[in-house]
Amino acid sequence: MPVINIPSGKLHVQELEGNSEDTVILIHGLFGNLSLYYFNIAPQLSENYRVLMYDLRGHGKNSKEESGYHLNQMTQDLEALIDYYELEKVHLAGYSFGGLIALKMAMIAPERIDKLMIIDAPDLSGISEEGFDQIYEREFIKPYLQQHENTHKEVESFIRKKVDKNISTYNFLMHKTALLFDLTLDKNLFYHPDLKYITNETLLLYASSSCFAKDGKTLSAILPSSSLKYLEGNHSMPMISGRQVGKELHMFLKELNEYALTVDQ
Amino acid sequence: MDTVKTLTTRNEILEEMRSIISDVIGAEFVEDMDITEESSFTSDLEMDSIEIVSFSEKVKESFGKDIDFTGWLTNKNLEEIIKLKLKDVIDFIQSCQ
Repeated sequence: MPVINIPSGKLHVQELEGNSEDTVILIHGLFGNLSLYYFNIAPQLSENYRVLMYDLRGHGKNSKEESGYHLNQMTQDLEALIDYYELEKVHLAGYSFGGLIALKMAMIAPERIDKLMIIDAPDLSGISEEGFDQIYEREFIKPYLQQHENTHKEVESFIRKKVDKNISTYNFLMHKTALLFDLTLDKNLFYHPDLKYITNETLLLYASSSCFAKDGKTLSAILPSSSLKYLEGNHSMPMISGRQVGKELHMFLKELNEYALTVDQ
Repeated sequence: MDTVKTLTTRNEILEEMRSIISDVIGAEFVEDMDITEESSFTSDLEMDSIEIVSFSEKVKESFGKDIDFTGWLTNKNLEEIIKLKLKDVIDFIQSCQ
């Protein structure tokens, strides 16, 4: 397991070497891990880019942590990762809370960031603890179970175990760590006065049926160099439609002409 | 990084798989398991996604980058991955050698 040492501890990182020094860092969301990208999205991007994925603090293969889930710590970890690999500039793609980390990183270290890809990142203002519970159940658990119901017994059993494990991770992070409090520290990120100074070329990729779909429009109005595109699905879109998400990211990075024609302005 | 190994017989490859699985899910869990070519990743070995990532990386370390196990998995859908058995991986490794 590739583990690197950074000032705040150890970080589990995976790398897919592409045919380029141009590097894309993929950031997963809360309660997940880097496997979100590993089997679908990362291999697509690695056709043309070097791809780095890492488990966020307290997630995946990293050790459990009771605190440090605010964006200041998360961006320090990310910057330490960029330093570790001695990268001058990287492209960043972040899903959900990972998208907020990418935005914050572009705010505090714009010289280190090239293109930004924000996937269904939420406006945290106004989401209560009950709100998180409901969103988690409605946007993650139910769609995942529904997608695989009436399939082979082995598949159903695997999905059930996966969901049980995810719920256990969710309960640990939400109720036994500082995560919930830390999220309140960053709840107004979308209204931070410096957000409008992010001039990086930015793709806002949102799911049309996600409870955060409208947040894409909010960001689109704030970020001067952003393009907003909606794909079908809800907040679990990268899990369910990983190949499509990977294709969109790849097209955006390569600046294909036809991409511009399909983007909803 | 471990040295790349040239293992060609099914038994040699299976033995290396046992060692990798022990690293990934823990020797204490493997002790009680009868790991054979018929063992499946999810039902028998109860690996989850992040453990399959670790397994994939260790296959690369052990057998070399010419064994593109990750690329092979990428072309499979979830149902195929769930039903995957060690014998399928051994077949794949042998086909690359």
